[in-house]
Amino acid sequence: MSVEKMSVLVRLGKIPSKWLYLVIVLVVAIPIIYPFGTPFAITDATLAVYNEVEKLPAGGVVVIAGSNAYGFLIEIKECLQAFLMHVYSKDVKIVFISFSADDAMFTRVARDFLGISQDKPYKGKVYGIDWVDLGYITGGSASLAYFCKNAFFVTVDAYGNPTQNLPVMKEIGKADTWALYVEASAGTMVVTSMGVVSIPYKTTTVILNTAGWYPTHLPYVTAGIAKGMTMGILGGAEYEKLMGFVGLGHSGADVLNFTHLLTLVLVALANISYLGQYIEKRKLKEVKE
Amino acid sequence: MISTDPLTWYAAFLTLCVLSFLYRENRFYRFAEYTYIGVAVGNGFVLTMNSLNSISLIPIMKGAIDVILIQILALLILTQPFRKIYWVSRIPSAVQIGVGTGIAMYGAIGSDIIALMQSVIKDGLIGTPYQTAMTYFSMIGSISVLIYFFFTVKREALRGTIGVIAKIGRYFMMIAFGAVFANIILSRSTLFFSRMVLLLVDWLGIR
Repeated sequence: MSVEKMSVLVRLGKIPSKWLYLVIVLVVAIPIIYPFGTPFAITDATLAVYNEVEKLPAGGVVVIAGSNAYGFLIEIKECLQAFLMHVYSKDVKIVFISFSADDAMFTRVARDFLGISQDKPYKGKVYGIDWVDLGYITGGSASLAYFCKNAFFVTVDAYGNPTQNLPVMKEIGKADTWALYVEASAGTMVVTSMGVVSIPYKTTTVILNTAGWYPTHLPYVTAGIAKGMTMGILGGAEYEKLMGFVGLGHSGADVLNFTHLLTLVLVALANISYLGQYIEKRKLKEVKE
Repeated sequence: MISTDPLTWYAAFLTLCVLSFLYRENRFYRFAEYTYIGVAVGNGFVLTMNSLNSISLIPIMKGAIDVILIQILALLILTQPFRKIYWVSRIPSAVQIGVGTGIAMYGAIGSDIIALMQSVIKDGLIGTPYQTAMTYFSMIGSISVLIYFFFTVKREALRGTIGVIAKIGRYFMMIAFGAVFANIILSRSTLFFSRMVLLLVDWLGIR
């Protein structure tokens, strides 16, 4: 191989990062403007979440807990919206509780998108009777452990109403009576909730997770501690598909397919360049000797 | 059509400020960074106060003795600046660490050790052929990675069969890190996607 050809390989690894950023912007922007509708399959883990909602008994309590950072809104929001559409169509009582300050806004954004508010009923569900938002509660794992025993330790809801006056609060009971516990979180709170809620109370649990934490928490699903789990915006796209509508999750699936292809190309180019550098170094060494 | 909502314009401006960091560190980026920190701290403070009102102040007003005692204990942490009675602040810290460790240990033993081991044993003995194969595969992975981190003897001394197992452990770790890395790319691409949706769809009205 000639020295000129080698230097092309070496130069591949020295493309200025600003050009790469521009390529990434184009790869993300084009599918947003012109959606391709790339196909995607529904995973067993997402289907399991859907099936657990389908199996909910009439009058059962669904507790949706979260401890997300607001920056990750897009990762779970699409899935949470589709999930809420599904859960609100069932004859169940719904309880929202947040264990991080950001998460209180997080669930509200998802509800606002669907038009769920305390002022008007959504799919026949009335605030205080069929659903309640308990807002942000400090204390993390200790508060979650206490909430599993006594929901009334939260004395006012997110809107400042005394919880004693809300009929839905009387339905909550201990964690072993909940029909479904939904951990709409990423990070360590998932681990905590498995040990604090799912194992001791044997509560049916599903996780709405971010893509980054998905492989870390997958053993909980394979071991049966959690019944199902969704993965970031792709999980959102899958849930949208199961609910039979096309939302932002579908655009996200498009973009992710293309960014992953780009990543593969970049990884391949970087490795080819590395190989080029290695061969060139050996050649120089041979020439010197 | 381009947005007429001032909040969307402000969000787009802050997004561009943050993205300008890709060019280099600059004042616009720092403005967005400080704004984010300010808003996050302000929001967190207000919501924490509301939470304390809900789970502490209202029960105290109603005379809940247990909550009053816990709050007295919590207030002891404020003795930290006073050198003579500084030691008192260690009591609430110790209680906090004790409770946190207790809950974490209870959870870790139940979910991360016992439940996962039960699953491995069950799948290994009575699972489908695929489950059994995957169980033994993951067992080989776990054991070989543990041997890789066996630091009692020098790494150079890990030769023969043990050395080969340690090497297999290294390959298992590489595969695991690769899977996590791929998912992190997925996650970060999604975050960038959300910013591009804001800029292209919500702000500029393209599409």
